[in-house]
Amino acid sequence: MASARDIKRRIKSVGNTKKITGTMEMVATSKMKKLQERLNQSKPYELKVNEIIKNLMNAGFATMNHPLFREVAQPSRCLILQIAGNRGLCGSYNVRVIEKTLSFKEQLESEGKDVLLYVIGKKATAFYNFTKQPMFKSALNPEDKFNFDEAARLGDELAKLFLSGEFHEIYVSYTKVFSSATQKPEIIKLFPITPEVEIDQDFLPPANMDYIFEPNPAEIFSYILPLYLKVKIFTCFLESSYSEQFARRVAMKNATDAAKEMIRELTISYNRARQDKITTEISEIVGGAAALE
Amino acid sequence: MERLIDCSILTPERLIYEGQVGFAVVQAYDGEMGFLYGHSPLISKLGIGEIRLNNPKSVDYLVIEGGIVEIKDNKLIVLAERAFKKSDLNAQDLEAKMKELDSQMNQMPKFSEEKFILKLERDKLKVRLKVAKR
Repeated sequence: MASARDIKRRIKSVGNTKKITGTMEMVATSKMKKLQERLNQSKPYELKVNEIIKNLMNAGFATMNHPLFREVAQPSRCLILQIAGNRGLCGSYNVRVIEKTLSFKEQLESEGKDVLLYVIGKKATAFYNFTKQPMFKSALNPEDKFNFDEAARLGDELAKLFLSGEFHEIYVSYTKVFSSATQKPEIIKLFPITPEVEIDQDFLPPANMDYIFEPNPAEIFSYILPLYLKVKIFTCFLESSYSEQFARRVAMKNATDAAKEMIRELTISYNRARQDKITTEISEIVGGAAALE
Repeated sequence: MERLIDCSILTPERLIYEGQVGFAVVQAYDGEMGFLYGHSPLISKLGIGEIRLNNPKSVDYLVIEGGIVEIKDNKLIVLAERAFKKSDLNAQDLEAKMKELDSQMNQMPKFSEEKFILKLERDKLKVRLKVAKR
């Protein structure tokens, strides 16, 4: 059995770990709150953009002519943009995104398509490097510095790749926030654009038809589509970051709780070891005294 | 009955303005456009410029840099790529930036791509400065 001093040393080291995890939990919580605020602020924008696109389509404008909608008859080259974190210590957050991406990649490959990955996040990049899987491109996750300009830049880059015909389909693999407590990895198709709103041409409310468009629907359409993509990428990033912080918070909370429990158990065995020592000493003294008589 | 329109100005980053206004003027792609109660549904592209929101009591000034405006059922929605409130802007800082930009532009050849980009930047600054000085 370990001596009282050894146990004491362990209690101290576990205590230090607990302090670190506790702090990380607090940091993650505050970051999470900030991201939630940003998500809430950007949600109405996304909804509005979707609505305007819907209105434009309802206005009977022939949308499918736009190059961003163009589907290739036999898509053979696909790109998956994978958004993961830079850092670990966040439970299964990174692993789940990677797993989802890989299974989706396999599925596409079984359909006879070439799939390349555009990896964002240091952790995920390290994983692909380790497994020696080729990546189309990798980048760091901008994390806190992420803003709309960054999303716009990425959106332009992807749009160029798509329009130049280098890729026929582009997907985004990220962690979607379903509610403040549930997030799941998800894959959405970015290019060619498939609007979320399914429009049944038979049930068009006539009121939507009399919009005035300045300068004309085509112009607005070609302006709003790239915007739609950028907003989409922007929210994907925000949701991923939120999920990461959430996962980290949960992981750190578990770690803190586990440390607490460990300290409790160690304290008990420390007390026991101490008591043992005292008992031994007393019996030695008593034994010694008895021998003298 | 008061004839007010619900106005909200959004950017991807945040909700910049929400409230009821009597009269709104926005910078459309080719000129200013005013909205009063009962405007017919309209969607328009926006340019770089200021937004004036007239209330009976006060006037709010904002800067927008591109976007889309939609009005329908007396709800005015401005989806801007970027927007600033008057209170976000500081005239002195902007003037300093303007001077720096001007000196940069003077050093460049007459018709270059960089100069064109800077020119755009300058236009944005000009509007910001205008609003900041209101």
